Amino acid sequence: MALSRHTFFIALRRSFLVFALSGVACINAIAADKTLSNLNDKQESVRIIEPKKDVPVAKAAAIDDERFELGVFTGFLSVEDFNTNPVFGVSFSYHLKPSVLLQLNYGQSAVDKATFEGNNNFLADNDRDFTYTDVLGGYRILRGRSFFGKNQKYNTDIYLMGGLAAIDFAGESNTGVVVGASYRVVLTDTLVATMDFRGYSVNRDFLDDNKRTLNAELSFGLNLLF
Amino acid sequence: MENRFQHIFLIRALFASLCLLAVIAPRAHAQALTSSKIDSEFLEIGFNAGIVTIEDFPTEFAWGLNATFRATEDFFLQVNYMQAADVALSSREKAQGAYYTGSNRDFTQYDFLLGANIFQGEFFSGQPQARLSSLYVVAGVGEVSFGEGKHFAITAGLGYRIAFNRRYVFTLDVRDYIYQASLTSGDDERTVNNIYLSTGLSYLF
Repeated sequence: MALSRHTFFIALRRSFLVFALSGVACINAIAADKTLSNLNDKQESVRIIEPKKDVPVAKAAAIDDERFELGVFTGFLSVEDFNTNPVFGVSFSYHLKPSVLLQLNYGQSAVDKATFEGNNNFLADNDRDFTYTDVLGGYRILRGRSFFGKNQKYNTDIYLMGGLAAIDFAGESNTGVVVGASYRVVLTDTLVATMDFRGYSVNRDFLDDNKRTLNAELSFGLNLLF
Repeated sequence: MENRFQHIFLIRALFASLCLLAVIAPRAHAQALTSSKIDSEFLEIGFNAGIVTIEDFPTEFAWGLNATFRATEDFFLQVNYMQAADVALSSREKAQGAYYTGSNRDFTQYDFLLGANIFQGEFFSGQPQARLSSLYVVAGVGEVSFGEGKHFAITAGLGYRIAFNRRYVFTLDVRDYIYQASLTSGDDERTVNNIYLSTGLSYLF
């Protein structure tokens, strides 16, 4: 009899536990359902902020659409058998291709009296101007960029130049050969700075001496791009 | 007497350059050892050739040698020697006779320069890696021998260098040698500008 009472109480405790577990499970299911429906309600009212898609990209100035350059230059011209003097000129360039440049230059330099002239004048005043008009072709041998300080970057190119020049000096007009190099820095989309080395090789008949002379020039220029 | 002062001045300039080297070299070497092996080269020797325009005389082909100590990323010290042997007769000399003869017609020059990289950059020549480059200015003092006597000269110039690889560097330079000289001993002295335009190749080690 004592055994059957004990069995009864065990069965009663199990039934109570099963009932309690079922109750907890129901409460959890109701709570989860309520939370989910609340979340759905809230999602409808959330405003999503989209980030700006047109993020500005830093881009160095470059010769892209532009085809022509018009500019001025100044520097030094060293005339064989004479001396070194300032030179001034204008320049017009056409970018046939990104790597090919056609250029027209006009330059003038007033040549001082040579030391051997002493108090005499070996040349008339209007023959002292060394003037040239040249037509050059240029091929870009190096393409790159240069850094000025830590914050400034410029596209730079080096061109190998060559062509012909009509040269007037010492009462003569002759055709000469020009070779040189051009270092070019694209400062803005409309402005290019240039540094040019050029050698003008031309015949000259001076004091009964007919010889080929070599005249060197270093110049710095600013060109407008359009 | 004047030449003696010039020599003393140039010797002092050389001594000052060596002292500067002695001070900076150990620091640069220490940096090279402690940092990565990249860009650890700070000595450079080079050969160059080009044309020199000599005032009142013809333009001549010339060649030169140089040694450069790269003190920092931006500054360097350089020693140069150049010469144009047996300068040809000018048109005036052909008509009236040579001003100078023999070794006096050899144009030789040396100088000590301080250089500054003002525009460093990189170039792409079809290969994936960039080639480092730099636009620099130089200035210093030296001596020019041509004609009668030696002349204390100031050198000013600019140049461009492109590194082919870690060891070999191509250079393009323009130098102006400015000094006082007279064509013949009886003339007044005047300021002379002789321009040396050259291309060169240097080796870094």
